[in-house]
Parts: sequence; C-alpha cells; structure tokens
Amino acid sequence: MPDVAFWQGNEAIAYGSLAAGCRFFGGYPITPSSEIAEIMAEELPKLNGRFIQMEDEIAGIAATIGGSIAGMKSLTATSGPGFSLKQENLGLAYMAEIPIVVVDVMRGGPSTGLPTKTAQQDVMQARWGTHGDHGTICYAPASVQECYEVAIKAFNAAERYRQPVLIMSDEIIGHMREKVLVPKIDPSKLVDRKRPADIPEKFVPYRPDPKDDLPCMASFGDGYTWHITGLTHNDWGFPTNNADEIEKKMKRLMRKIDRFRDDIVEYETVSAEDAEVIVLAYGSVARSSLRAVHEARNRGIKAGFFRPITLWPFPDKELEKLARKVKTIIVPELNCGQMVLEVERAVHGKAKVVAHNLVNGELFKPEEILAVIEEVA
Amino acid sequence: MNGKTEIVLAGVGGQGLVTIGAILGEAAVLEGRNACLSSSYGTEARGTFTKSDVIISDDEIDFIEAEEPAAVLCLAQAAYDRYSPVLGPEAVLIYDSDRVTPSGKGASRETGYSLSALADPGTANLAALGLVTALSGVIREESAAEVLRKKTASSSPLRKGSEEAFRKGFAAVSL
Repeated sequence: MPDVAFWQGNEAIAYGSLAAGCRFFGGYPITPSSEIAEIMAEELPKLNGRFIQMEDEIAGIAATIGGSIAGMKSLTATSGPGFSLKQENLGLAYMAEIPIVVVDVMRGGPSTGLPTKTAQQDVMQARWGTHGDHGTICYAPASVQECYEVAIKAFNAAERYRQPVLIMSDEIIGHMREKVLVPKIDPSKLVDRKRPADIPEKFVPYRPDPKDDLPCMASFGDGYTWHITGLTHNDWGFPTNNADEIEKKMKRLMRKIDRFRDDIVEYETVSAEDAEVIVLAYGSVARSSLRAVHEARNRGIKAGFFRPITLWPFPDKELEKLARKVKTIIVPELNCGQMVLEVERAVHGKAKVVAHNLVNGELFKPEEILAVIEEVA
Repeated sequence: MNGKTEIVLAGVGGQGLVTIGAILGEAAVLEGRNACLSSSYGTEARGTFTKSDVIISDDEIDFIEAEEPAAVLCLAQAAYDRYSPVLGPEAVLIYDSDRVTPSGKGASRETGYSLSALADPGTANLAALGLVTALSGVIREESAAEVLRKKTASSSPLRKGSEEAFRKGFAAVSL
C-alpha cells in the first residue's frame, strides 16, 4: 500500500475496507459504484478473501450476509436501483443482527434514473428504506481521504454494534480523484465482533452482555448452533409471539444505537462560532458550500459551515445548540428536500431553515449557494 | 488561492481524457502538491461530450470544478466550440487540428497540433498530455513520465509506446 495515493472515492472505499479487515464481497456491479466491486475482485483473492459476483442485487446482499455469518467482515456496494432491491435483506440483517457494510454511490433517480450523474436522493431511504424500526448508522464522506477513513469506521461500527452500516457516497465523490494520505493501520484500532467464550452447549445466541446490550456472534462452522430468522425472535433465535420477548428484542435493537449515539455521531464545523448564517451540507455538496462560505466571509458576511459526517444518527443536539445562536440555516441538497426535514426537526424553530435544491444531475456551483447566503444574510 | 492551476481536458467519450487527467493529477501528487480530478460524461461508452477538470494546488482544494482554467485541451469540435469563446486572455487553448476547425475569432492564445502526426490513435491521448504538460508548465515532464512508467508496468490498459507518445507531444511544443 502506498503512503500517498491519487485515488477515486470508490477506490478509497475499497482499500479502506480491505484495511479494516474486509475479506468478503458479494455484489452486482452498477454504475457509479462498479470500481468498488472491480477492486475487491482483484484484491480479495490475494488476501485469502472471497469475491462473488451474484446474479442480481438481491443475491448480492444475501451473499454478503452469508459471508458475515461465516465469520468474515463483509461488504457490498451499489447505487440507487440496487439499494432499493437490497432493502428487504437489509431488514433481515438488522433483525438477525448481522454486521455488514453497504455502500450506496448515489445517482439520480427514481428508477434507473441517471447512471452517470450525481444526486443525493437516497438519504431518507437509508434511514427508512426497509420496513420496521431499527437504529441506523450512516456515513456521508465528502472527500476521497474521508472515503478511506469512513470505510474503516463503518466496519468497526458494524462489528461493534452488530448491524448493517451504510456509506452514502455520491457519483462525484465516488469518481473524483484526490490525494490520499494512506495511514498505517494500527490493528488494535480495528474492531472484531465479540465471539462466544462459552462452550457450544451453553451458547445462547441473542443473550446480550449486560455491559453493552450486545450479544456474542458465533461463526457458521465453529460448532455453535444458531437459528437465524427474520421473524421476531427470543434469545435463542427462535420465533416468538411472547409480548415480553418481542418488546425486549425491539427495545434492544433501538437502544444499542441510542445509548452509544455520542460515540457514533460525527460532524465538522467551519467558521461557525460567530456565524449568523450556516450552510449545512454533506457529501459532494459540502465542497461547493465550503467555497461559498469562504467567499461570503470575504464579503463581510458572518457565514459558517456545518457538515454532518454521520447522516444517521443525525447530529441533532449539536445542531440545535448552534441554531440558538444563528438566524438562518441553508440546506443545499441534490434532491427535492430530504435532510432539510431532519434539520427542521433538530432546530425546532430556533432558526429559520431554508432549503435549496438541485436535481439536474449537476453539482451546485459555489456562486449559486453564495447567492442564497447573500439573500438571507 | 496562491499556487492553484486548473486544467480542462475536453472531447468525446473514448479518447482517453479521464486517463490522462489521472496521470496529470498523480504526477502533481508525486511532486508533493494537492490535486483533484473530476469528470463529467454520459451513459454511452463512446462519442458524447466529456470533460475532465484537473485542479493542482498547494492549498486544500474545496470546490472541485475548474472555474478559471489556465489551459484547455479540446479534442473535438464540440469541446472547442464550448471553450474557445469564453476563455480569458491568459488561458491557453490546445486543439487537435485533425478534428477541430478553429473559428478564427476564439481565445487569444490558441494553438492547433495534428495528433495523428505525433502518435498512433491508441496513444494520441498521451501525445496530447505531452502538449498540455509543456504548454501549461504545471508539472514537470519527468513526473508525468514516472507515473506513466508505473502505470504501464502494472496491469493497466495503457499501451506500449505511451511514454514515447507523451515525449513526442512534449517535444512538439518547443519545435
């Protein structure tokens, strides 16, 4: 691995995943995410890992879940059309508590939409796409360097909290190339799932450790018996209609993310301390927004920048605190207004929230965002 | 924004513009600078308008598209027609005279080169990279050559003769 690279965002996600210990990829290539599958196909066999190109997107995530159950850190990558198809099995991974990482390099939708053009239209689907309640961990990288870093964080979070973790990239971030400083990996910083310490006869697959609410995970083939189902199940993994057992499972599914929320949430601010106008942006739009904020400062406007790195859990407490001091929060997005709803929820009327939307496949020019800043300042 | 140079590589899909953009950017990174390459293209593998923006800077790069390019390479008439009327007086426009008919009233610093005279069709993009490298001066000739050698040595689609074509393009500027 080089110390410095000039990678695409997709390459950085692939190499970051490998550095995190990913050794299985199941998937179905789709623009603009295909480079991730390509690199994993090339690199995994060299590391004694496995790559399978499946017959479709549904099978792709199914194989990924299987890879994880067999004990390997597992990845799949897709774009909007495939993300839709993966939703059912994504739900299975939430319910059965299988750690996997799913990358969606967003392109324009609905349906097959715009294969080679960028969009941010899947961010609410990341939270609510599969049915039923569950906590969500979702990263939105805004540079190639960050693609590498969030890939490692995503695997660590998936393994630690035993659930799917999403990386919502977009066509621009996925395909652009930038300088990446490739860090040396400290193996002690990589998280591996907790494996059962008990003998197989004593193993209760979903009995949580009282310390962190998280059960141990045995690998298929290790001699442990484990019933895996999408049906609501008890600690032994068997379907249940017992109200107490149902409630216990569902509450724990939510709680295991809620109680570690502060450890998971990440965001970045620039010039926010004395700002009167905040631009809140994520992914590729953050790049245009940051320039617009710098330019506004040059023109004497007290503008600031807030970038959620985790879209879910959303940095709501942190934004609410900031909202008490600012007049207006502008939310530019490459969709018709999705995360702006979450911003409104977090801000709760403490600042004016202005949506600014673009859905023509292009990225905002900084001057378009600057014009909105000047209008509201 | 001190020490920032923007270069646009424009033409149609299949001409290898994204490839040479990646070489340009990697050469800059090799020189210890920051670089960013963003590309725009259609669903078709070949034939529709495509452009790559390369930004090379000593500072962090925020916005990723070229706004005031120092050099624009045009390998198709559509690319020339788009950039020639709007370029500033300092910018260099380089076009492939085999494919582009200049308007005669375009950018103030326009130069045409016949790529077919410099390289085979398979390495014409590398000859164009040589032209861009020499005319923009944004990276050193040897940095690009080093990246090229690295890429041809690994399992890359770059053909044999790539470095030769690049050198020929670079030399053509001083003729």
